[in-house]
Amino acid sequence: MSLWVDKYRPTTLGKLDYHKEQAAHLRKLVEGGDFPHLLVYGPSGAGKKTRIMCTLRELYGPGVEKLRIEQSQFTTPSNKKLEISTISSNYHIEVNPSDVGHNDRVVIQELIKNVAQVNQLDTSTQKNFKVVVLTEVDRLSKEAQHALRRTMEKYMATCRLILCCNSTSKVIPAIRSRCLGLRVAAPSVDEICQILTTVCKKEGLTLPREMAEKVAEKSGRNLRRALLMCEACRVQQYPFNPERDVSEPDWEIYLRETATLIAQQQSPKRLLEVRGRLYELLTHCIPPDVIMKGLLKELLQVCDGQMKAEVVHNAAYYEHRLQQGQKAIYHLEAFVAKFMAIYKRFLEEGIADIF
Amino acid sequence: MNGSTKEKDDEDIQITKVVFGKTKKPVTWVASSFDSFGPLPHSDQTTPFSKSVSSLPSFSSKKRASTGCSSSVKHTLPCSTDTGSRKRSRDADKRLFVQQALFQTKSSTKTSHSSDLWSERYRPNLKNDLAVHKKKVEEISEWLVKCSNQYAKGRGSAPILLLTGPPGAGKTACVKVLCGEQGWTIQEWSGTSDQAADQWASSEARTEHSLVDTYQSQSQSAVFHNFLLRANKYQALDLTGPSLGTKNDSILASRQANDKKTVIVVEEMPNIFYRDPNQFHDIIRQYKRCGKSPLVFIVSDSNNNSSGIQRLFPKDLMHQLHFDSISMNPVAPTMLVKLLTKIASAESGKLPSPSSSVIETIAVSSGGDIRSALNTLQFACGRDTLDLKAICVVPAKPQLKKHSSSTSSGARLKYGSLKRTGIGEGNHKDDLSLMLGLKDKAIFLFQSVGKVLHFKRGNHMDHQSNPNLPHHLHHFDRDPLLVDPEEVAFKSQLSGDYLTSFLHENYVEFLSSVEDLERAAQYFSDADSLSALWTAREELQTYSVSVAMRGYIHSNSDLTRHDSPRRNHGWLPLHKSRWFSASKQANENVTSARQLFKGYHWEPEVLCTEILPYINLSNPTLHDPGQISFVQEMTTFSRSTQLSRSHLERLNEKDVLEDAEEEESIYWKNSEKKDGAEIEEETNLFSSQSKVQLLQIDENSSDENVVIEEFENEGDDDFEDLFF
Repeated sequence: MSLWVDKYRPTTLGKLDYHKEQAAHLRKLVEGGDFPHLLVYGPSGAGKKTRIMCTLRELYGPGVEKLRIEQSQFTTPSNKKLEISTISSNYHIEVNPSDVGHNDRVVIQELIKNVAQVNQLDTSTQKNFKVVVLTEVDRLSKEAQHALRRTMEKYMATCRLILCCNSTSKVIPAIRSRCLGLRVAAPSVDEICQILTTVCKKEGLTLPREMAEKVAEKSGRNLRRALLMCEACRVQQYPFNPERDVSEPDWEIYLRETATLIAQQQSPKRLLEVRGRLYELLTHCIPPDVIMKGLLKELLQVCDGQMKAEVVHNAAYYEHRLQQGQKAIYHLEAFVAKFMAIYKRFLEEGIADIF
Repeated sequence: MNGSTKEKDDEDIQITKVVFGKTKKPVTWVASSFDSFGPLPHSDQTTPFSKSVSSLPSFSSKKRASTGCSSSVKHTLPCSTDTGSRKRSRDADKRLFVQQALFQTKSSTKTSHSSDLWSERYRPNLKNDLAVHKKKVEEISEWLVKCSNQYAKGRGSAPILLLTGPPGAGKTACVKVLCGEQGWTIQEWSGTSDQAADQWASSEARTEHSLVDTYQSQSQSAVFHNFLLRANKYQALDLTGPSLGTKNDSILASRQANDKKTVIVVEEMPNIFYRDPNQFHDIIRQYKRCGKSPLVFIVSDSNNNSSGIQRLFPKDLMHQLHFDSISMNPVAPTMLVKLLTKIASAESGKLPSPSSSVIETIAVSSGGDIRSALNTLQFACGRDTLDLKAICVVPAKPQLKKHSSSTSSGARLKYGSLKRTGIGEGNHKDDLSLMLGLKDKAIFLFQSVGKVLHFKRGNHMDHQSNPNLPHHLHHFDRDPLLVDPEEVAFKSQLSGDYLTSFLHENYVEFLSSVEDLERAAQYFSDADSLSALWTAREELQTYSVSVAMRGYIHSNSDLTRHDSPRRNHGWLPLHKSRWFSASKQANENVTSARQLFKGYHWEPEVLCTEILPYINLSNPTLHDPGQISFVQEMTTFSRSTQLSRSHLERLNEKDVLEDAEEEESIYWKNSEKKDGAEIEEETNLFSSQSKVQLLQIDENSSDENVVIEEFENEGDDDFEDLFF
């Protein structure tokens, strides 16, 4: 059985539920039979990939939906073997180059070369180019991005790139200027409610309006998450009861507890404890920037206005460091230590004011 | 070459066919004992050798390079291996004689040569001569007795002992002496250098027959395998004994020898095993099955190759095969001083003996390496270096003051105490160590991390040269450091990255206030972002580790003055950096997540932060049991309120890191097997407390007890002593 997210994913541009105007634009773009490189960006769960797949389907027909998962091997100049899994159809190949960490450059170059060097045999019935979909482009190393920009130009004749990322701020300007930017905004709460209701109807369930709104609010306008939440609620209690809380992922609860620990006590011992928890989160594959964001969100709740600015400033500072550096834990911990210091000063001032 | 030499060639070939690696020692088994003499058909040919060597200097290298060529030559020759082996027995008689003669010359030159080196000349012969700690000697002795009992009963599989210790700690000497006393015969594999030397020697010796080189190279592992299994089966053929001139005698001797007990000692592992430990493990397993003689592995552990030991002798293998393991410590300095003094006085007939202070300096600087201490002593006493004396005496004095009383009472004279004599004297020491060629000691990870964490400051008054800070920066004023962080980093022989991560793991416990924490954490963050540019990472690493170390030291506001009271936090165990294991684990989890949930083809981030948690909540029917357990594993977080640092992660005194590159590449591999081994190894480690006591190398066991008590009663100073 598949999750609702997969089950009710629209497959053609016409079936998309929101941003219909954009869908129409995409259709027009593709109608000409050709299109420039695309850079699709937008928040997580906004439907970027759905849109990409719909576009590809529009372009190549239903053949695009016959997917196969393959393992490709690459060898770095230093003779290290890299393995990366790709998802491909006859017309396109999708890959997440950041899987291989700092060796992503090799993957980018080799993979695109491999794809682009093979011309389509029968150009009369098929398009004379293939599409390479690269996901998580914002996690690519700078070297890989530079490699990409060269490759993009070189193989323009036989291949088109669709880059997919959350934020263009981590994509180098050279790439941004070579692509047609396509922003997929997060759906509004209303749109999410509507989709949730439709999905539930198709499942044969009734979803009260309040419940739908609650889930949509809780999801942070992330449609994927909204659907997952809704499905989780359905499993835990049906018929839906708007009174009950929507369950959250465990790591978020864990992160909230960690934030509480930080606010409770400021001492080296506590920092060690928090560090242990941060490691725990990291080993559970929660990306460090997500941890940072989550911590900030929780910690801000105990701050008063003036302090908020300082805390957010520091969070931004260390988040930037996080992106630059190698070892996320240093920066996460530095942020926690910083917050502890700020918060402790704040508390002490408060006590001084009282007396 | 004329026809007659050609015939001789044929004979030679038959014998050289059966080359085994090991020949230097007279004690070896039948087949190989011929090989170094193979090329000598008649004793009268010994003279031409030297000539031909000089006339064909490039020959040996050429031949060694061209195995293919030699094999083609082999085909053209009429004789084959089996005819050779048949002939061998016939030839053996006359050759033995020749060999005998040659051996004697060889060995005599060797002894005259070795007596030049004091470390050879004063090789211990009796148990009491050993400078090794009595307990350790006892331990090995007991093991041998145990083997002996087992041997007498004639059942059970071969006992195996792994003897580790720093180089020059007297491992080999100990085994040899004890075996000698208990009547064991030693069969020794001492490795690769011999083999190489033999190849060289025999090829040189065969220059005359340059065209018919038949040296058969065998893989090292095969040679080793043969050695072990044969050494077990056959008795050594003692060719050096004066009574053995003929074959009959030798057979007789070997019959007698049959009653003897044999210990197989393996010292230098063939290099191939470091690359492929499994091969080695297979051989050892096989030996365990069919071998009877006790087997002793003697391996030096130093900073560099401890990981090699862990790979060659993983804990699971040792457990499985009932390995006994004895770890030797560096020789105690007091012992070493005694020994050196004795030898110096023995030599004093010829040479003026050095002053006791010089001996002490040598003993201390050798770091417990008898061999190097003796060599240094010999060098210091040498006629040519007498002029060094003047320098030697002056700087060593203050140290004498410090230790003269302690030496007599048998208390601590410690390695590394050279460092403690302060900055001014330190320079002298450096001169001295340059002059005497003292060892440049590398320090273990444990020590280097400890040195920085337990840093010490000197008295401000001693260093007036330091400018005073302006008033508004007054709170940054610190007394000068006695530790040089850069030197520590340099000596630790680790990449800055690793040292920083270990410091990072441990610094928190050494700070008391949140403000200090804030600053120190900031410096660690700075240090990491210094390595942001991958192009400059190599160069910047040294700076980055400096930033981290000095940042920590400066932020520790408890210890701004040399006489600031130290917080009595008791013994703080150091921990291993968790970052590497954590990121490895994370990577493995990502990989397995992707593999298990292939069908969902989500990006890993989405998969781990959204899909998996909700799969856990909504509980759809997963078909794969692997998926189910993985989801559960990924969604359970340890909520223990205690510091979740078990003793598994304790940093041990002798721990070393795997190669930096290796560690990194592991990220991408699924080396579960290795993982398991590591964990087991760590669980078996001593608790750090008991290890601490091992560092206090004292000669009397009663002293040791006292030291332990000190540890429990006294404050930090003792712990800090570990690092200085």
